[in-house]
Amino acid sequence: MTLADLVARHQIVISAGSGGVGKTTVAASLALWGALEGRRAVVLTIDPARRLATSLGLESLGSGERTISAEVFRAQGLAPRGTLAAMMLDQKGAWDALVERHAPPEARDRILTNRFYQHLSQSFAGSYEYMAIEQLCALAESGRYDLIVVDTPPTRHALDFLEAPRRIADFLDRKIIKWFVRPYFSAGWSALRAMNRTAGFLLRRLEQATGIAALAEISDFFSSMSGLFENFQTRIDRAHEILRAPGTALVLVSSPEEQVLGDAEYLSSKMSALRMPLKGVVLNRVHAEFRPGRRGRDEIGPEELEHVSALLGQTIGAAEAGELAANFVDYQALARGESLRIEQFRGGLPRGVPVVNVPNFSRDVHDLASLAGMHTHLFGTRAAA
Amino acid sequence: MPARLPLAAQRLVIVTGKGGVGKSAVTAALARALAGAGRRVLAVEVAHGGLGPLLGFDGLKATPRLVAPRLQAATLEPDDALADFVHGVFRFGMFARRLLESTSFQVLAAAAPGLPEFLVLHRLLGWVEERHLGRRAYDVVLVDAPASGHSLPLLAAPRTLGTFARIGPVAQVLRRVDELLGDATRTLVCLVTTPEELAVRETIELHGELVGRLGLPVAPPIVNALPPRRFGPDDEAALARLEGAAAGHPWVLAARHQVEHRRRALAQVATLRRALRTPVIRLPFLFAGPEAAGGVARLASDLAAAATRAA
Ligand SMILES: Nc1ncnc2c1ncn2[C@@H]1O[C@H](COP(=O)(O)OP(=O)(O)OP(=O)(O)O)[C@@H](O)[C@H]1O
Ligand SMILES: Nc1ncnc2c1ncn2[C@@H]1O[C@H](COP(=O)(O)OP(=O)(O)OP(=O)(O)O)[C@@H](O)[C@H]1O
Ligand SMILES: [Mg+2]
Ligand SMILES: [Mg+2]
Repeated sequence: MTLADLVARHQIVISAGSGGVGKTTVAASLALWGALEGRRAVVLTIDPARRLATSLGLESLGSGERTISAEVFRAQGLAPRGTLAAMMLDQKGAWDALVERHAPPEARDRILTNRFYQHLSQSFAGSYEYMAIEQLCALAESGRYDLIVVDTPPTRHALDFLEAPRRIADFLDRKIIKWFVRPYFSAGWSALRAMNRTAGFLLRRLEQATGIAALAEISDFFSSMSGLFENFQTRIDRAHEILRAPGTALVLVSSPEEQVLGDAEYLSSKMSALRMPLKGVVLNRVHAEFRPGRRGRDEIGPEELEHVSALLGQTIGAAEAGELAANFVDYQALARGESLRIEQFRGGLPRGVPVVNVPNFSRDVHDLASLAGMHTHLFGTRAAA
Repeated sequence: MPARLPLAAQRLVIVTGKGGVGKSAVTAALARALAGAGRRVLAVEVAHGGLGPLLGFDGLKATPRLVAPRLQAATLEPDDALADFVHGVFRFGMFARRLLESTSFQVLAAAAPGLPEFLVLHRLLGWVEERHLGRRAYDVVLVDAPASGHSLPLLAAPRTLGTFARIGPVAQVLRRVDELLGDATRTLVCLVTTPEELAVRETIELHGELVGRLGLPVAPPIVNALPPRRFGPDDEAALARLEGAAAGHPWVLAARHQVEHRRRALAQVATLRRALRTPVIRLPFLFAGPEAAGGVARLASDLAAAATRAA
């Protein structure tokens, strides 16, 4: 299978990987490919570089979906047969929207102004990931797109993203309500009286001993939110379903650096355990080795030095030719190191998973034309015009 | 004008920046540089940031251990810090265990504003203040902090948690931590970045938060992995002009790649300097990576030069 087959056969493609490897860029390029090939594509991006955001028509946060117009494509020399929309994840906005949608009206303001809620919606580990999945569900259910490409948040291990529904589920585990809400607020704790008495006691002890006066407030938060939990559970189940659907493909993006590849290896081994198999790999920002100038020669021997000096005769002197050679040697060593690591990494992947290399371009990839320029490397060809 | 790393008698040095920019490499290099200058260093990685191998020691533990002369290293797991804290609060181990075993409590503790970060800072403060036989255990505690998304909550924890804990023992510790962090004679925060657009943007934002909002002592940013200069301006121009067979020769292609990368990187350095109105400290891109023999030592000697340079 090729990456082109993979995109053609799936409705949802998730671009995952360690921080800074090119997830956002690859996601945008994949969605653009879909649009050029006639799909109704959308890319859900997270924290794109400013110029990429601008190229996708995303000037401000929380702006909803933006469809890229035909004129914009034409100006970049592109003629898509389908359509391309883009959307930026707005975490805080998404939480607020969820509360507005699911909370009983009388609890709404109480939740929105609770300090703990404000903290949670901005910084609770996993809530970012969860909100990305939440918005993915909304896009999938809208029926407006037949290709949804999802960028993932910059986490050290992309696993955080995939485990988000589970972690959120843990967080909202009813046990929490049992432990924290009931001791303070609820009357119906008879069934678990003994345990709750301990819990309430321990919490009060903790509060007294530490002087952290937040626990009552946190309990208040949970009691206001309890109506939400029921709905959340359905959403979480739905998120699981979508992540594991046969039409969903996980594409791992990695750079060829040692530590990053190590993370990627770990991730791909964990993904099968989560029943979300890895379906493709993009190795981004690879330094390709230069082929030797002339066959059968020592690449940097004195003969080659003479040859280059002659070639560059008038413009560059012998000393500089030596520096050229030294720079070349460093570059080749870097490129060879990468290709060895990549070989080893590929050996550990499940069979049949397509792996493509994208070179480290000497320019940032931020406009539609350069995103399309990635297609030669991702798909071995440019999109059919 | 090259920047100076304002390191004098600081007791706590916190290294942070975007994910993957080289925080661990810089921490390892700083640790070596400081130990080399005769200070007794404790290098701490928070939550397995990958510091151990760079110090030539795999598998750091919660208890500091000597990895080189005058240089100890340890790892700090937020979960362990929580356990210590709860055990410290309850006199009966059984209560503490009971609370710690419940998933709900773990999740709540993780979600409680500022609490996990506070616990990490609490540990660090413990090391800074630790004494053996009347003598300081460490001259300087050097922290390989989590990536900036997580380091801001870490450094803001005294404020965040402070609104919830105004009196009591936690509030007291918070005040001590807050004083330590804000005291330029004792603390220095080092921001590491690569010369790339997103990392530079994040550094500018983080710098604003740390200096503007939190009032912390922040060093000039460290730009890591800058492609070194290899060709003079005349040669660069000549390389650009080459055509035909010469332009296609692999040595020339590799050189053009280098020149282009350096140009792009310098543009980012300029953006950073303009935004922060400060010179920066530069560390070179190492083709074989900092893990290779002599890699960390090379970065350490550059940092040592920046630390001793006349202002
Ligand atoms: N193949 C490439 N060659 C050169 N530059 C690239 C390449 N791929 C991506 N970039 C550049 O690298 C930077 C980081 O890319 P991107 O934002 O896609 O990474 P990311 O994985 O989404 O990062 P984060 O984890 O911070 O979200 C961008 O400036 C982008 O233009
Ligand atoms: N000066 C340098 N030259 C070349 N490569 C470097 C340099 N500094 C770091 N690297 C490489 O960059 C990668 C990230 O470095 P490092 O682990 O130090 O970053 P980090 O900021 O600690 O990452 P994390 O956020 O994952 O903890 C590593 O693969 C390392 O080899
Ligand atoms: Mg991104
Ligand atoms: Mg690290």
